[in-house]
Amino acid sequence: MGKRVIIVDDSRAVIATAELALDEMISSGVIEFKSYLNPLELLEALQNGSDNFDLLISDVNMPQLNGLELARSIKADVRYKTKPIIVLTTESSNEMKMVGKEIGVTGWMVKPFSDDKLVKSIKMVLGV
Amino acid sequence: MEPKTSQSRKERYLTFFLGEEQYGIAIDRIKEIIAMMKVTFVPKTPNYMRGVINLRGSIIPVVDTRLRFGMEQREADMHTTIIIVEVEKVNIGFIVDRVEEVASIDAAQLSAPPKFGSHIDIDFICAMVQIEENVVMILDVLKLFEADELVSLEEIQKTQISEGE
Repeated sequence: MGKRVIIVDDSRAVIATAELALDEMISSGVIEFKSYLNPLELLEALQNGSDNFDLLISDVNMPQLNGLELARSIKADVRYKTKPIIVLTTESSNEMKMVGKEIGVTGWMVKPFSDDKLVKSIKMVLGV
Repeated sequence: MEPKTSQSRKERYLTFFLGEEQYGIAIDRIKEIIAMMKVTFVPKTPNYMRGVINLRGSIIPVVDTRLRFGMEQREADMHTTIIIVEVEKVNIGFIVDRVEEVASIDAAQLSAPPKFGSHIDIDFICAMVQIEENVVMILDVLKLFEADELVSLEEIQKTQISEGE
């Protein structure tokens, strides 16, 4: 079974871009890929145990819930406390990074990201 | 040893919308998906050629997919996307209303496009498939352009590059 990678972003274009970049890892079974457009749906699925992840990639600016708040809620759950979360953002201010560090996010990626950078980051975080 | 069950062949397609219609392009042709950006008009090109974009130093011709399909042009909005597709070694941008998803489709699910008679040419639709409530038209991007059109697109790319140097 591949490692389960979940991406949450309110932009379908960003999700499709990530899925294309990860195509080789998905088709070779190294990772399983799942996406959510709505962070609240993801949070609910994680809380009721109908979904889980080995790595979460989350956008920050989403209308339903800010990605950092999402990460905070997920990290508060013992089941996901140690699971890596990478945050996608268009600008990474120091203040945002401080908040991220305090919550325990694993890394940041500035959008638009290159395919290579995404693949490398995922391989590094998952050790695959 | 147990015989291996033959797996059905799945192809992955990037799907997008133009108006209410959903289309798909095989992902091995897709180079990149980018947000709508400034397009520089190039004179004396077909009306569906919106112009060129400069993507990190590469000049890429951009097609208004709506116009190419005989639809009305539409103002760009936050969902407007340019899909960069490789056609015969030429990268071409296709402006679409919005990107939907990457869909895995079993080859057995594809059906042949309908025939509308010899005077209507929809050769560029190579297959159709039902995804949820939508019929998705799978495009053969090669057939979207006549051979000489591709040459002229390549020329545009070359001219723009040499002028930029």
